[in-house]
Amino acid sequence: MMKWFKRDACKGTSPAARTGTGLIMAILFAAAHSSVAGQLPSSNSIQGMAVTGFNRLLGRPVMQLGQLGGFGFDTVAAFNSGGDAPLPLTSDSADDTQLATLVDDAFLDAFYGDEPFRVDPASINVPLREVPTNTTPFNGPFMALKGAFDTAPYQLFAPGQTEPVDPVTLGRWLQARGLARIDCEDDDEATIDIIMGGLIPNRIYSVWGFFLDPDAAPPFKDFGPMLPLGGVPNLFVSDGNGSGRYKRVINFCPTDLDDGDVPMPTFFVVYHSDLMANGGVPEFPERSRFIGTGAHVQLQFIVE
Amino acid sequence: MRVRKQYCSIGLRMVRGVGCALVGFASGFVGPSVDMASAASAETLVIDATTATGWNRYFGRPIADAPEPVRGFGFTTIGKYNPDSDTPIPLRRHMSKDTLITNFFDPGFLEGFPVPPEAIHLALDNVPLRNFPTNDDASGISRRSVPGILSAEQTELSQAEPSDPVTLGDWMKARGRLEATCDENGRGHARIIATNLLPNRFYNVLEWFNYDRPSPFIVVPGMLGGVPDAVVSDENGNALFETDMNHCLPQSPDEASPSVNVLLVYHTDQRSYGGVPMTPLDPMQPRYAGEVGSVHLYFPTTGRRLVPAQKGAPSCDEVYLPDAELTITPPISPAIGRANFVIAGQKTPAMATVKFLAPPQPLGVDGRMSFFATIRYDFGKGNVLQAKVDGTLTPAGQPGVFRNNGNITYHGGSGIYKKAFGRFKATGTVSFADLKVSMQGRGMVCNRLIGRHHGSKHHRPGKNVHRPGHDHGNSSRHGHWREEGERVERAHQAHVAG
Repeated sequence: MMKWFKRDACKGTSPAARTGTGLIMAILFAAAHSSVAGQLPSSNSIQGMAVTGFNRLLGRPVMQLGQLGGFGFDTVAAFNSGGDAPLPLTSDSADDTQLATLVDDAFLDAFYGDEPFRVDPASINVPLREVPTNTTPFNGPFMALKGAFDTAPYQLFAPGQTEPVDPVTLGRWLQARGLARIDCEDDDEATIDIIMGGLIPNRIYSVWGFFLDPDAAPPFKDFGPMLPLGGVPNLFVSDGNGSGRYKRVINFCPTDLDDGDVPMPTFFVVYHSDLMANGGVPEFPERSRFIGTGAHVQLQFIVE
Repeated sequence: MRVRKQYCSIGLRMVRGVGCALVGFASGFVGPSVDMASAASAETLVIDATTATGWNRYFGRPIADAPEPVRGFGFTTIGKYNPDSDTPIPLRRHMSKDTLITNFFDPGFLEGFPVPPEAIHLALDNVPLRNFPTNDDASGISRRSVPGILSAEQTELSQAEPSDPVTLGDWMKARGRLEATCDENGRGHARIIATNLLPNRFYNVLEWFNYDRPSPFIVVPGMLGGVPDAVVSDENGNALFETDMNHCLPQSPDEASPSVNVLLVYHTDQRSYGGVPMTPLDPMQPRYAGEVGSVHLYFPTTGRRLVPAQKGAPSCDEVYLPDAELTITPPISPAIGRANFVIAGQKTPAMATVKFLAPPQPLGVDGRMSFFATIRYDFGKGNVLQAKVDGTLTPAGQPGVFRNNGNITYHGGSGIYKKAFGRFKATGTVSFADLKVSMQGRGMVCNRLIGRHHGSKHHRPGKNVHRPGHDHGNSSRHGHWREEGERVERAHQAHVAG
């Protein structure tokens, strides 16, 4: 699995660039085996990886989630200009592939089992920049917003979307990167500090922990094991450069669990294409707003 | 070049090199039109915030007298917790700093927003701000109060710390400054610098307009710069919001739908609602101003200011780094050397120490690598600025040599930088072949404690900026403005009644 990920991460790398990268990797290898290794990655630093779904990168699992195995679901797909349904992303997808919405059946199965859910067909295969948002005090109808620069200074109930509004492509999406540092005060308190870059600029993001009780099994109604990491508001807003920072106190030590603690094998950073924040849950499926139509996992951090 | 009319509105005046600065107590009405086109980039509008208790409300009275038809319209959005009733108690200026504050639905809201009475299903009032419930399931309707995470079970829905009750003293400590510029194409850029907000909490930045078409609403909301207009305060209560806009500030009252104010709104329910501040007419989950949104900082953009900005508004200083040369400690970290900063126009050299937090990682694009690092800038005399970096290294064509791009976030330190925050964008080269790093860049550092700590004696932050919140007059003016506020309020009440 990891071998596959690394192969993909180097896709498109030129020979010359690989030479430069090779040198620094050699330096890093030396560093990792030298007396200064302690100055580099410490055991409580976790590199995040860009993903295209919950425990999914281009359709493949990112990690094994205990008894759930390679469980996961896609939250972005390839825009299909010639059809109603988006196309799955694969390792062959081009960097300029425009990303669009979807609702992965695996999500519905895992979180709601046999409950009937109506997914509005109009909410599927929507380019991420065109995902509708609420614009009225009635909480609807939702509408896609033009960029602020393409909007007159004031339009009642038709505001602009914060610039920039260029299409979100796969290559752009996978530039996301992050580093989390976890400092444990004791068994009951820790600080998690995440630095991120390469995000979509000027947009709302939320951060979620996935808590996997060894006895837990789907369906996980109302998002079950997904909790706002550090409590609500589990939000940050990326800046104009696509950088972000999220720092919170949490009530356990993820890397040194106390007896009775529920493991948190992974946590996620979620992009909100519908330009909204939703309190203690990532979306409202019962109002036809799903993970995949308005919220999309962009970074995954593996704790274990 | 297109000539764009600009006005200094009531209470604003043009300050050379600054633009229209809010004079606070200054009287006078709309000033002469000023052609800003020739020097647009040099003009900065500066408005300091009044720490508010509602929409155009400061302890029940108007903050500004806006152009017709808004005038003294407003409504309160926080109150004093009333343990004996479901209805909170209106705040009064003399109340103790320890007063526990709650959300507050003011019927005055309905005077400007005529919601049908049958549509009013106000669910919650008199709820201490930290106790306000948030959505907790897939319905978008169910919500509940949640404990602070350090008081919660490990897998219980919780709220971020600090989660202790919010007092009037906590609330009124907030300070803010709005800076706006305008380019030659009529596009604006706004920056809000805020301190002492409620830490780790979600805010919206709204701009309200005097709509020039028939509307049932006295004013209409916009999202400053577009949607999302969100900002999250950090663990110290600091926030920095920047956005590009499709118009410039200030706007003249005779422009189409001129801006009335800019607000920073705290969301008790930890939610945002897209292109509107809240959803009072949602048949399933009506949410009201004062119920889920409380105005914290108020920046009047037109009209006569009746309540001054509080003193102590934060400011940012421009940071310019023409050059820095660092030497890498083998094999790759730390890099240490001299950074020749120019801060607020003053040469301010520092010793910089850059440490990688983890090995650079391949990004999979043209040999680029990402890195994360900390930087410590030591300016001497105990003045140290801390920063974190997310950056990229791009092969520069020679083995082991990379072009460096870094987005740097300042986050406190010591001395005059103890409460500093800000951003900096750096470029340069990193050569692992000869162990050299060079950097250049620009950015800003906010909330330096000049004058309160040792350090530079040569600079006062924003010394060329008119201090809008400063009362240049004598104290008798307070009485004058209080009377003026009451007069406007009476006139408005008469208008509503009539």
